[in-house]
Amino acid sequence: MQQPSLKSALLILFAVFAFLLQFPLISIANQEHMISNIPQLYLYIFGTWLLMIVLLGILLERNRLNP
Amino acid sequence: MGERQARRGRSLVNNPYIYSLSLAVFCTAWTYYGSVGQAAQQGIPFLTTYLGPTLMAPLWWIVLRKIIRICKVQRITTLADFISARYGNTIWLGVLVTTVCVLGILPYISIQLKAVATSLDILLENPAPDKSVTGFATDPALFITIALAGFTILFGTRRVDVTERHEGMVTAIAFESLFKLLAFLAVGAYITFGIFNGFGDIFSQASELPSLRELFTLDESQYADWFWLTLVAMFAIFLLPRQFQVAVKENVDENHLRRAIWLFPLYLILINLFVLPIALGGNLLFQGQSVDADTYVLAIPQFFSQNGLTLFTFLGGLSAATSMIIVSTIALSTMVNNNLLVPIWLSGKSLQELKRKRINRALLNSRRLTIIGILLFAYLYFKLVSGQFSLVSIGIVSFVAVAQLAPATLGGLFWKRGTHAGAFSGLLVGFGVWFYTLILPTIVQAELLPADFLENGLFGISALRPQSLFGLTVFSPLSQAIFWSLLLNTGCYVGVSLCTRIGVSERKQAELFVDIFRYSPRTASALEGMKVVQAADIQELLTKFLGTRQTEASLKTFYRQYQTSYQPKADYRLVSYAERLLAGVIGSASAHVMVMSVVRKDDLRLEDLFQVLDESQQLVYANQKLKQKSEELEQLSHQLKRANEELKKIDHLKDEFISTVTHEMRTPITSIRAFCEILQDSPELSDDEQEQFLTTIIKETDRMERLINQVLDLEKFESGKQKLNLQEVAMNDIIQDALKSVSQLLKERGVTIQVNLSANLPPVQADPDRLTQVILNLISNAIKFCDSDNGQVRISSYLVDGVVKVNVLDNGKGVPAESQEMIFEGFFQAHDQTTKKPIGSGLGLTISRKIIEHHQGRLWVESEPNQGAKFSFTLPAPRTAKKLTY
Repeated sequence: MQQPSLKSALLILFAVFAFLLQFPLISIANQEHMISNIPQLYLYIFGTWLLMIVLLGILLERNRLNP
Repeated sequence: MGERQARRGRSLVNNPYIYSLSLAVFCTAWTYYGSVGQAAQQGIPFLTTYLGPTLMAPLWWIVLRKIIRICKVQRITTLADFISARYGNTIWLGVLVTTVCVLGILPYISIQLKAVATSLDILLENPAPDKSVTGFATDPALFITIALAGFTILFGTRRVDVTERHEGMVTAIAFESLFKLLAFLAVGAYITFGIFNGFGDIFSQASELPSLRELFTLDESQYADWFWLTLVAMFAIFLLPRQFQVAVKENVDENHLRRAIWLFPLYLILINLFVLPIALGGNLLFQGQSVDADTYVLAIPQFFSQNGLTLFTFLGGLSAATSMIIVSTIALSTMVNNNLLVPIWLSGKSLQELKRKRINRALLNSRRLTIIGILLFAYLYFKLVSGQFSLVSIGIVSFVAVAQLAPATLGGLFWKRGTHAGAFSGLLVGFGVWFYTLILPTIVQAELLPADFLENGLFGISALRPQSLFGLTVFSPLSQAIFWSLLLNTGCYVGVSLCTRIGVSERKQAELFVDIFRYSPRTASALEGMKVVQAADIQELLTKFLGTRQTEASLKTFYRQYQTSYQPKADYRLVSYAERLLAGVIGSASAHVMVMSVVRKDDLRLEDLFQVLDESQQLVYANQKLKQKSEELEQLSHQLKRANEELKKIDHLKDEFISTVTHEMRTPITSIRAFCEILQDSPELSDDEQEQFLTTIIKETDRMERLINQVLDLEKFESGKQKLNLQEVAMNDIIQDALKSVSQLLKERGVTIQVNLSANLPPVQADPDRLTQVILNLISNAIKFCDSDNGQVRISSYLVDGVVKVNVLDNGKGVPAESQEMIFEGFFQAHDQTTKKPIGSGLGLTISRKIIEHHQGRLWVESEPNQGAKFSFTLPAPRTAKKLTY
């Protein structure tokens, strides 16, 4: 399988997280439920956000080659 | 100081961390104070402002990098320039974009002023200010505004810098970003862990109040807002004038983007970590009191008398607000100057008039005035309108305003078909809808317009109600404003673009923008501006705007870079270089106009240039074709020459042939005539004698007939008209038949014949008559030329090496070596005078050879002098010999 270019990988990342953080997927986490006293939606958003940053970091720091 | 260091090799700013932090100028008093206010009232939706840029970050590599490259190549310094340059460098589009930006950002600046004023009040523990319009003279906010104006002027207008880069400012902003992050984290940590017992504690306490618990989740009605606000924030991160300034114009190295793409979202997540806890904490602490949620960040530490922390927090907020004001105002004033003032100012003037004024100084002053003007208007807006709204609600209005630039910008980057008319109409419509749905209602609420306008719409038409335009009620007023403005904007942009023609310069720009990565920076910048002009005029023009010293320095750089020296006629590189230098000072549209005004009558328009390029391209192509043709002709003439030689040879041969044939023919005719004359003249001849003469005559006529037949035969063979009647033939049968027919001759001559025919000869494909002819020819030759006393002829046939070979030997004088080939070439006969008249015609062997060759065989002679001659011929034995084995 061919290695996707940086551009494609970034596009995919964008699409995936755009979906994760919008209706309807976000409605799954949108419950008045607390996980160790922290609201579920809050955790979900921040968790997903952090995950995206980490993935971006890995992608960009590893891929020092071509765009 | 940062700028002096910058001149020493940009060590400070050429750093991806500085770049990434400078982008955090995005976080202003809105982030610092306003987010908490919004979270306290609505909960989670405050995050849209930061999730938008985070989601956009991965796309920066495609979108922002392209913008940066284009701006570097075309020396574009502002967003207005960018859009105007893309769509043909017209003045009006630049004017519109500038207007949209200024009117859109004024509210944004005003909320910074509000935040500073309010936070100062809290710090100094002033009583809550009266929300009505107070006397201006004593208003501290006014003083703050003026101070900021002075500061901005100092920072941004020290000289007319051709690169428009402010490295000192960028570094300062990077450090300020760090500072405000630390301050906010400090106060957030204090509230969360100092006052409460951590995140869990705050949330669980809040969850006990239903009004607070509902802040934890999104209400279904908020999904639309969630989407539209995220979208608008995505656009804002690169379209806000201050973001364009730091992200694009101040960018030193494209590769810094790599770091920024993940560092900036990291910054955002950190600065938002404590927002909801602070908001909930404030709500819990100040229940029942009328504390403005926008001020919680400062109010809480102050409530607990943490004076040090309160001051620290205040400074953080102050730095956030001031950095926004300074960068935005500089960006806006540059836009106003380059796209509004200078074009208007230049439009009426000619080059002569400009000579009398000191343009350099005038430009700086106009920029300073613009800065002051913008800030004063922002102050007014603050006083009249913003005071009554939350920070974020005003801030979002600005976001939607700049979002109107998205269709034209993104379209300009990726769609070559976008036209000037499309961009202009789209932007105009979007801006109009924005103003109508978002600005007017705030003015109504500030009681400067009658309220029934909101309820009943313009002129009482309900479809024109600003908060539910065209009857759309499913969205909140904000979402529907965003929806309609973007929809109509994009619709007009696409629709009008498709319906209008693209001008030549527009098309060139579209190419250069959309395909920027295909051109190296050198090529792209060289393609711009091709005109024929005097170098002295260019120099004069530059001096006017840059001053003598700078012009000389820039020209020196130019000559060094291109390794040329001064020439009276400026080549296109100098002209485009000058145009770019000017663009840095007065904007690209005006620079274009100025350079055009300097051009003489014998200018080369772009269309002409393209035509010349086209023609020369065609010439090259035609030249290539010509070369090809001439090569082909040469080849042909070679072939003709060779063919000519061949023909000459053949002609020669033909002549020989004719002379020989006629000679041969004459001989028997002469005999015949002689004998006929004798018969005629000598009636006294005896019957025997008469008989003899007549026989001879008949023989001669036979001979002639034979000759003629042979010639005809030969001609048929030569011309290829000879048709062979190929059959399966047994060689030995043919030989036997031939021997039968010469048996009489053999007896007459007394020649003995020996026959050795191999028994198992495979059949050959041959014409039996022709083959017989050959064998007869060979045998009769052998008989003719064998030894006269003891003539011996031997015939043999056998299979050897896959061919059938037949030998005919005689024991005559043999054929001398030099004649062995020539005997096969027609009419040759040994020039032996002692022989009597020829016994057969000389064509026999020639024809035989032709026959054999037509059978894919060979016919030749081997002979030693006085040892007879051996004539041999071979015929191929067919490989697929039919073996009858079953």
